[in-house]
Amino acid sequence: MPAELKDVVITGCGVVSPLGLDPGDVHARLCAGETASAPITAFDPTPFPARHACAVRGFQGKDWVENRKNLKLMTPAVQYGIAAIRLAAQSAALVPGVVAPERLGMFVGAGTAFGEMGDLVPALEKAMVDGHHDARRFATEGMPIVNPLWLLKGLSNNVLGYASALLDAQGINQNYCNSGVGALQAVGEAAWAVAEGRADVIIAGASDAAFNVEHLTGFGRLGVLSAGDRGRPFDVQHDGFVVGDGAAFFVLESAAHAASRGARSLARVAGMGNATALRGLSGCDPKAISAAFQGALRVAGWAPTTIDVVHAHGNGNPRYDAAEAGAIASTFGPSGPAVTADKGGLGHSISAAGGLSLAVALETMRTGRIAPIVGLTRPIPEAHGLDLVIEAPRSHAVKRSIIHCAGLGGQTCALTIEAP
Amino acid sequence: MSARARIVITGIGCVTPLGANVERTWAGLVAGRSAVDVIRRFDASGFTTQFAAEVKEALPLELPGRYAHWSDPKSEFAAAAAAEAMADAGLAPGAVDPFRFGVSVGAEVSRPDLPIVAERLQALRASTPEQAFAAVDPKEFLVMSAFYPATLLAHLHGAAGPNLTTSTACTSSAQSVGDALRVLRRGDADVMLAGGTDRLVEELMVMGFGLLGALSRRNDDPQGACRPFDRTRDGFVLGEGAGFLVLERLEHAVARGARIHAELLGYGCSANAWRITDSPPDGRGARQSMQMALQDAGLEPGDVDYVNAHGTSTQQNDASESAGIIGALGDAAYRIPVSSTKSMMGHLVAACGAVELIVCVQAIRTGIIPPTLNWQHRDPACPLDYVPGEARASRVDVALSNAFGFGGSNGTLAVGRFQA
Repeated sequence: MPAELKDVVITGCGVVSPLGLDPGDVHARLCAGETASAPITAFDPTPFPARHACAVRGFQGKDWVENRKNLKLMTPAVQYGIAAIRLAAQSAALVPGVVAPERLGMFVGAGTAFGEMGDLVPALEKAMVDGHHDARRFATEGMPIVNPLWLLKGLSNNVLGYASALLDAQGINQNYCNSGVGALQAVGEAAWAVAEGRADVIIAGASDAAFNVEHLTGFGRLGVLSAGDRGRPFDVQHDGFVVGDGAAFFVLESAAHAASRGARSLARVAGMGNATALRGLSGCDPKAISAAFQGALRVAGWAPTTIDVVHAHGNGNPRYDAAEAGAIASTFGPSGPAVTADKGGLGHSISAAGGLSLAVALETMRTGRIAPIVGLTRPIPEAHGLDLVIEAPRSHAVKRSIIHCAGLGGQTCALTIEAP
Repeated sequence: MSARARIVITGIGCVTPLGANVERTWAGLVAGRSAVDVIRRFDASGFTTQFAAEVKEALPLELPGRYAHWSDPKSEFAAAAAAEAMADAGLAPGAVDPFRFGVSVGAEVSRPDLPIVAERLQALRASTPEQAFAAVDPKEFLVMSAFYPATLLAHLHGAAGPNLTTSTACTSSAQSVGDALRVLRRGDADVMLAGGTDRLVEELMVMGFGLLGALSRRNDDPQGACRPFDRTRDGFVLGEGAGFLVLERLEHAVARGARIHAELLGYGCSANAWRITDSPPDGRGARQSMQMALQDAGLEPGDVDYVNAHGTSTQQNDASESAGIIGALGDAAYRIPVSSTKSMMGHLVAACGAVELIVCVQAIRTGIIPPTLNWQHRDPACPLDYVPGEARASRVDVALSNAFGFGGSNGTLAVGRFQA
């Protein structure tokens, strides 16, 4: 018999997003049909097949990281992560002394850290001999002008490293570099770790920054970016995603632990399901998506018909939207749940995206308002049977939700949550 | 969790500097042979460290179809080691229900080798931004990602279940195996292919770790350079390779008549919550990690017959780890053999946790404990039995394998002789 994921609750939530740093505001702005997508002005986007991005605005790393030496070694994604972790801890009233350091864990989903190759250009130039790279020259002439801490800036687990020290979180931890499923896997695995008794409290979530030249180049060459002014999930005009930045973290603990310290529960984590698409390299396999949904329902012990809202991945990729719509239809049946998606408003912040969706899902539960799918006006045929929330927010008491996210390697992850 | 599922190891495979399979790697370890040598892959004569443990043997692997092009060195190491583990487990393609079969990998993002980066830099100068964008290989962004080995293994072996990638530097594959254990126990899969891979002997890593002062500079004696726990140790030695294990729920292994190598008994994990590159001198993180593994496994310190140490040969790690071993195992620590096989194959970073777990499995199967090569001078801060110089015949029923890393994550795996 599979083990049960019992009585693990979310008691705090912190976000850094293109629609602000307050989860309530992010949700309200999505309900108002707002998008953060705006023309790229930070650099010349001409070479890329995209003109828009969802940037985090008005964010200052120094507001969140006191140690200036450390701040210099932190990429934007790391700074967002630390800010969201601090906001989550604050939201859960997780102050020093609430939990013993060795019982406080941290599970992080992180993006691809390219290691700041641009910082190496002067050293590489010194190593050029007759138009060719010379390793000996690189070592003797180039290396001395490289920042000795260069390697540290490119570590993929910097959010975990710095934030665990900041919060004295000495317990079980993880850092997943797993594309778009990082956030929900971090939250789901953290929930299981609490259920296993390995920690009293775990801070879990993800941060990522896709609005930069490296990601626009990589995703652009893979042909997954939208040329439009926003992502359009499930819309006939969908043509890919708009890159975004962001971070979302959550505080998880057992219901008993939360009660003993008087912490309020935002939701219970009921289940997680994981599956992998084995066809092609873009993950467009409805069977894998259904398997992830079914896994999350099975662990929760719920019938598909009891779900009120699906927070879809909805990345606006024509093939993926069709596959996901098909999987939702086949899993939840003809009179299925309301379906919403947030990438039209928030862009795709890759690792962080599922976390932002979870934050939106918590606000949806709290307010009883389901945000419309920003960017959607005319649904694709594959989505005709779905109850898509279009144009206006919908009032609906939400008891049970499922959040879905997917990665570039075909990873797919679904999380079920229940209102307190 | 009283009737908790038992998880067994039914297949092992590795690629290391000592050999491109388990048999040759193990033979090298038992013979006390060093794979450390002057770097041949590039001209390292100008670097502060000019030696490393390279994988030199040809990989026993041909990737099928397009995967021959959709790969990079770290994924090739992974594919070769995983193929050996799957064959060793007697698992033919299609032998496991795809959605009950998952992959968990410890890996880090890779980067093109420096001559290629330099070449591109040149080309960039001579072309328009549009031409430069169009010249980027579309598959590179995906293939270089940390999660790509997990994607590749899922495709090659038909694993449509949970797909996880852990990136916590030197602790990555201890945690990826630990995650696989947790996934199997709770019933989210019947079989997990778990391990790690890393490719390190290239200019950037030799520079990056060198600039941090972490590498041994014993250029006049490469084979004597890695001397874990020896008083005259001066840093670690880069290695590379991959290790994979087939982990299986006991009833699944029994039902298919699989040969069982050992039982994976427990997983422990902690964070130093200290600084990015070093650990607290009292070894508290190492102690907590080992204590959690023992508790998870239901073991007492006196049950442990062998510890495969992280033992990097840095001043700081080896002293801190020794303190942690004493903290976790108490008086028993002084009579338990502790060895570091990094003394022979170098530091495999994201792969070391899995490869060293395989070393522990081999110690249980053969009754031989591999030595710590080059240990000659006692360090008061390292007062344990480090099995110096020569392998030792000794029955091993229970072994612990430690891995600690940059960023502060610590992982310990407990493995034992299988008893029905």
